[in-house]
Amino acid sequence: MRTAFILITFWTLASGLLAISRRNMIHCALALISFFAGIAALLFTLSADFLGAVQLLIYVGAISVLILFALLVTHDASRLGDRGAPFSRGKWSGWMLSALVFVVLGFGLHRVAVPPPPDPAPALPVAEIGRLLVTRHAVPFLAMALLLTAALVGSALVAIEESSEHARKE
Amino acid sequence: MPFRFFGMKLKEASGCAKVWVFRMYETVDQMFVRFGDLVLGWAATRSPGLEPWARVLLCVGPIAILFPLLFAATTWAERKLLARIQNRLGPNRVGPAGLLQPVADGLKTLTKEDIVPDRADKLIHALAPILVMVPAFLVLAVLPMGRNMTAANLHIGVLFFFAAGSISQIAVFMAGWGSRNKYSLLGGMRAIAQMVSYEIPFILSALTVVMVAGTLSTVEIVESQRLGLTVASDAGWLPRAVAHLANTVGGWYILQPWGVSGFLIYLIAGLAELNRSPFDIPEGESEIIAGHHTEYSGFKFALFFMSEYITMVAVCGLGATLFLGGWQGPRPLPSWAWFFLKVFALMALMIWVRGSFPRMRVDQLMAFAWKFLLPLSLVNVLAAGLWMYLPSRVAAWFLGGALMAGAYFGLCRLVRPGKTGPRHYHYA
Amino acid sequence: MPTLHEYLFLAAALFSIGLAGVLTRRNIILVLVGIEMMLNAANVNLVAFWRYGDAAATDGVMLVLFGIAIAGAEAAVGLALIIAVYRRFRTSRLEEVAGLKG
Repeated sequence: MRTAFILITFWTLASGLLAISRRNMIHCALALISFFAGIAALLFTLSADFLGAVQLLIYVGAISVLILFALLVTHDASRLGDRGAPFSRGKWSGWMLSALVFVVLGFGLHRVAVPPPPDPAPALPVAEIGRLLVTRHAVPFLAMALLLTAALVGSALVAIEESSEHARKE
Repeated sequence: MPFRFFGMKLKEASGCAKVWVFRMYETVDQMFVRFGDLVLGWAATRSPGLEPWARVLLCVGPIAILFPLLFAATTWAERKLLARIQNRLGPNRVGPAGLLQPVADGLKTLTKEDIVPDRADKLIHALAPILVMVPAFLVLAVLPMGRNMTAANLHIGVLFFFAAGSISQIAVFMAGWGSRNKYSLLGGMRAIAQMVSYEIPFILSALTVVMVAGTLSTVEIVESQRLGLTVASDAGWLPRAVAHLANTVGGWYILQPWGVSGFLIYLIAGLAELNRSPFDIPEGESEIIAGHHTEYSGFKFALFFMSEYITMVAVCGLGATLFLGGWQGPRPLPSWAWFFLKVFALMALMIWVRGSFPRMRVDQLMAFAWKFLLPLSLVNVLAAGLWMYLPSRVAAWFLGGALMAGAYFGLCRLVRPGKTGPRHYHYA
Repeated sequence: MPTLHEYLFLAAALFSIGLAGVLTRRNIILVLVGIEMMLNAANVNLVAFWRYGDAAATDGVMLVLFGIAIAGAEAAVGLALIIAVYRRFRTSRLEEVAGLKG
């Protein structure tokens, strides 16, 4: 357990750093996918199996594919990342600011006493999650359904919008 | 615990020949499990630290040995069957009936030169064939290959299957992009678009089974497909045999209206997920050479090839588990034999489809997924809901069947084939 | 078993990395990548609190589930917008997208 956690720590930190620092943007996206898989592994170590599997399915299976597609659509695939500086002018203040956020968060965490982990691990069976979704969280669940449908239709509309114009130009 | 045999307690009738036959069946049925228990017990006596490792080895070892062998057998069977369909002989030079052909092929790919394109992204190009093997073997862990024979009995088994399977899209992308070849990239993007689109009806068709069985665990799904009919212990052999047959076969989900349509949707979407004919546009030789495999040779290509066939076995295995009762089947065949029999039957069906249908066009492919298969699988979920909540099974049968038939014919009328004419492809 | 502190520190570090990505990259898609990383780090925190706290208090875990669903919608809409922006400005670099009425 301990070893697994240490390995996952290095894995997520390394792939996270790669994801924001590589010049080549496809490398960034692939590092991000590895980061998502690392987060799924973290959720598995926290005995939230269902969430880990959902994380894999949604992030690794769907969102990362969206990102890859968007990268390829908006770039000349053979020249990804060769154009101009990858970092913005204010990059140093950005690095400093995020380091400051980490220090502040760490300082806050350092001062808080935390309970030991309960043993055995709490279980959240899938049936219970399903029951909660249609009872206690029914309203957000329905709102989520509406949101996802709207996002599906809306993103398709926004992305297609000018394709007829595009075709006319040719 | 007293064994029950045709509803009769065995302890009361021990000593007769029937009991002996039953014991024999139990032994054959459970022989791999017993062997595993023996190894575990031996490991536990040697040292307590050895036992978890032995357990891991017993779960991983058989899968790592059996499925590559199965892959070899499948390539041979596919070539032989395709040859039969096309009225030729197929491989017949190496070994009897060409049985050793996979060995020769394996040796050939191992000794071939491994070529990496000069401009390729070396790391990604090399990682892709390794990564593609990961989901292929991971998903096998949750398949119940016999009674008490599941490598990992997860309570989220079906979800795990789909979650782990989604990794393969990334591997395909890495292969396509890393090769720095436009045919590879086109093939990879086509493959990903296809896999993402067909994943939705694929998962929705499995969702119906999860709904009705009320569990995500593959083991429990198999158990839920067993009927609990009992006959009096003094009944003749015929009623008992009929009851046994009904118990082990009658509960399969494919025998229910939503199950038939769900199974068909699963099979079609599964073919597309596997990039197999008639959905093999990503590898269409006449259009884009070999898609994302184009720049791979030697052993790396063999890894892609192997992962495709192992994933095919896994998809067939999940299909058998979800719709065909998994390892359930009447005696005297043992449970694992039933499972692999069903898997082979499904694979033969896929090979048959490959030999019979021409390849689809890219636009037909996407339209079929989004305009036809997706609405049909949503209606199928509704039909499964009707099955669950209608009080009368007969009414549910007819209503569900009518619903699915209506949806099928309605969609056939609504979704007209696209006009054939000049077409602009902007991104693919 | 690692302590809650270690999970929280790791999540804080991942959050900061994501923030750095948002603040320093020029490309819109990579800014979105940073936002996704921050969301993921927050999810780890929520699940860790459930694991180490009251097992009956499942609201945090459910929030993670909803968060993942929202992230899916957000990524879809965000990337569609990026594609639309790219069509208009022929770029996906943030500082070049400056006109409100192209």
